[in-house]
Amino acid sequence: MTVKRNMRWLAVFACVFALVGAACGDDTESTDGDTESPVEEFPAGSTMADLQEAGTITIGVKFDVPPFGFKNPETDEVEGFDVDLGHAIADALGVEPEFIEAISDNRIPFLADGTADLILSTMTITTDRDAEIDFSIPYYVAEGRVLVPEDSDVTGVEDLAGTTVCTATGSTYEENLKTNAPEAKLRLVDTYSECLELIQTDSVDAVSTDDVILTGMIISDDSLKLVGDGYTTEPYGVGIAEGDTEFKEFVDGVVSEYISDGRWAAAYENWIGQYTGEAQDPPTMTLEEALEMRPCEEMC
Amino acid sequence: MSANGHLIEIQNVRKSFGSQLVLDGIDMSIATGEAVVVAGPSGSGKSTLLRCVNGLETIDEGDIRFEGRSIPGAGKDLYRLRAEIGMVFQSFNLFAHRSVLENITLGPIKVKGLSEDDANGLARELLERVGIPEKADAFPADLSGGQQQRVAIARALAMEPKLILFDEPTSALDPEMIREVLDVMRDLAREGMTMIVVTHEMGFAREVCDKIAFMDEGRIVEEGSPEEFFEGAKSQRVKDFVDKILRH
Amino acid sequence: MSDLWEVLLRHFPEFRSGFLVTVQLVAVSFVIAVVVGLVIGALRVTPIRWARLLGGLYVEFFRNIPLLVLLYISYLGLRRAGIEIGPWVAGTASLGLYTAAYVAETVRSGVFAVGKGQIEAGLSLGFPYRKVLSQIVIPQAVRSVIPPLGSLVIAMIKNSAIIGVALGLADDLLKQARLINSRTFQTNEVFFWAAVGYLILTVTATFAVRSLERRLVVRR
Repeated sequence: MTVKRNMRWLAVFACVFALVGAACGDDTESTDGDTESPVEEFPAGSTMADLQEAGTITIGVKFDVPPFGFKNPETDEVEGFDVDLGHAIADALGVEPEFIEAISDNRIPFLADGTADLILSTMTITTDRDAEIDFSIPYYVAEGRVLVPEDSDVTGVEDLAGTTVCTATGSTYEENLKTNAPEAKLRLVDTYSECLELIQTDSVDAVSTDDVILTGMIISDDSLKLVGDGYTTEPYGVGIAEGDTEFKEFVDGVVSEYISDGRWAAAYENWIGQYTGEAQDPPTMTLEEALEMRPCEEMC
Repeated sequence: MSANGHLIEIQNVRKSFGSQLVLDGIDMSIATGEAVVVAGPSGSGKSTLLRCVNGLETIDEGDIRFEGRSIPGAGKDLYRLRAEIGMVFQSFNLFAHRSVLENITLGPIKVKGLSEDDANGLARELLERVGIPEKADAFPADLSGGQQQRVAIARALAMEPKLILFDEPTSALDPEMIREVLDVMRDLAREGMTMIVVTHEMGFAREVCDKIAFMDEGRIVEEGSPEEFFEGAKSQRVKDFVDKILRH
Repeated sequence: MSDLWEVLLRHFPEFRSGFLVTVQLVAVSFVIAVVVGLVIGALRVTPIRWARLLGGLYVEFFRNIPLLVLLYISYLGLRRAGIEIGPWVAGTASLGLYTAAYVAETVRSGVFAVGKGQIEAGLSLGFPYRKVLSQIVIPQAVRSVIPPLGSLVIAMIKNSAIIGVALGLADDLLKQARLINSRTFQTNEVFFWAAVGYLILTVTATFAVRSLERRLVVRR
């Protein structure tokens, strides 16, 4: 009897120590942030202030879509173009970013229920999505292209009739392909890494999605090639919870600065430019223009 | 038929289950038309002996002869032999997925090659004989224990066997139903069916059978007519047994 | 409330198409499961030692591997090994063979339920052993599969949803629901109707099995 009771008190003390330790730990972390660069003060009750108090921001990114969001197998850390922008936003708040995996299915629900504070996962701006969440200004503009095995005769999206094309569920390419390649048979899977598996095993004839994502596939398997011109324009936006105008303004500000002070160009070169050998200018498209490109289809 | 007219001859049969000796030198002869009761305490080897006669168990030593020929160990000869020897089990063992009529006709149709009509006719007659003609289309699960056992007897009779083995046929029955089964068996014996009956029903033994063999620990301790058995038993073992039954 | 019906009406063709695909998936897998399950079950009860071993290996393998893993192996794994297996075949074969292990087990217990007694009764009539099997044991063993069949079919209906999730092997009901959801974000409404669809299937299956039971099951 007494042993049990002692154990219980031991557990209580252990918990108390852990909580105190954690609290102390947080203090040291935020002071570190303070010494690096002066961090803005935000009005009480705003999302930014809340995040600062929590000391961390949860950002949904892709874990398997190089070069935008992927896990480095050696370091086991997530990295990529989206991840870099995520770090920039976290730094502007003076908090630590926590990256969680957002697949196309769950990314919007994650924002809606608060599991994620932001979504940075190659998400194209559409009016349908805008009805559920808010977008930042476009931070990247990709083009839709077609990827095939190097020995394929397919020359582009016009040439896809009768073939099987893989893309992700919940992506804009379901519609893109239905419009531009109505005779193609679609194979919809959860993640682009599955598309890669399928094209490698000859289970599908082609994969179609954003050019940068396809480039990521070519980097890991150079027996694939891109064909045809870009047939859609895909402006990416940061996903923000619906109605949080203050936070959106904040994020827009960070994105603008990121573009204007050269960090965007550096990130582009690091993740994409060095592989494609091409240069690209930062996006100038406005959010309104992006929304106009993809008007409402369902019940907005 | 063997030289001296015995249908079954059991000679010096020995059998063990693993290290356990169950039959320790059994000698017995049964003539055509004889009804023999094998009695004795549990574990004396009575059922085992019975099951050796139709090859459900094999013997280690000795010989069992049916109509002068040794019982085959396996193969077509054994199957043919079994078709001539009927068996009625303690737990009836009716085929649960078939009707009463089908239970009786299955053997004749599939083993003896009777036509369905002939088999059905035979089956109905037999059901009359055992007293439950109205149950022809019922299923075993719908019948009482006594009724099931009577169907089992009809099933054995349908093969027109030369010998029927009864392995404690009434031990699993409620007391009210024992009578109806014993009545059928008595009629069979009176009509001249050769039968070996392992049972505890000593009333039946006394009334109906021609010979009682008492087994204990794998041996036949005494054998004789019912009068000899009940009134003039020679061995103390049998005397004690008879005493206990009569007092009961 | 109006949202609920609007979602159904707007997307009825997709729901229906997914529903039909699920029905087809389950039907084909079911046939595979029963046929293979009976064979494996029979192997498990023969007196031949290597046959019993083979049957045992089959059951242990398919009972201990998650269906999703099986789908990955049977589709991607085999294709990488050079075998040109199609998505439909991989999906139905996986679900069918997986469920067959459970069918085999019920056959085995069904055979044992028949009991030594009936076998001995059959032998005493003069039936050779194989005829005892075919006339007495197997008819009863097969029928004993029917009551547990109901829950196996329900499990299959639910498991079929995994086939659509894995590698886009089929555009079944769940897959269609996810697609509609990703466009409309009406998550509650969409999956409500998906659940209704699956419920229709499971309830129908239960009724069908029960009526089969009434007609065929052997009472003891």
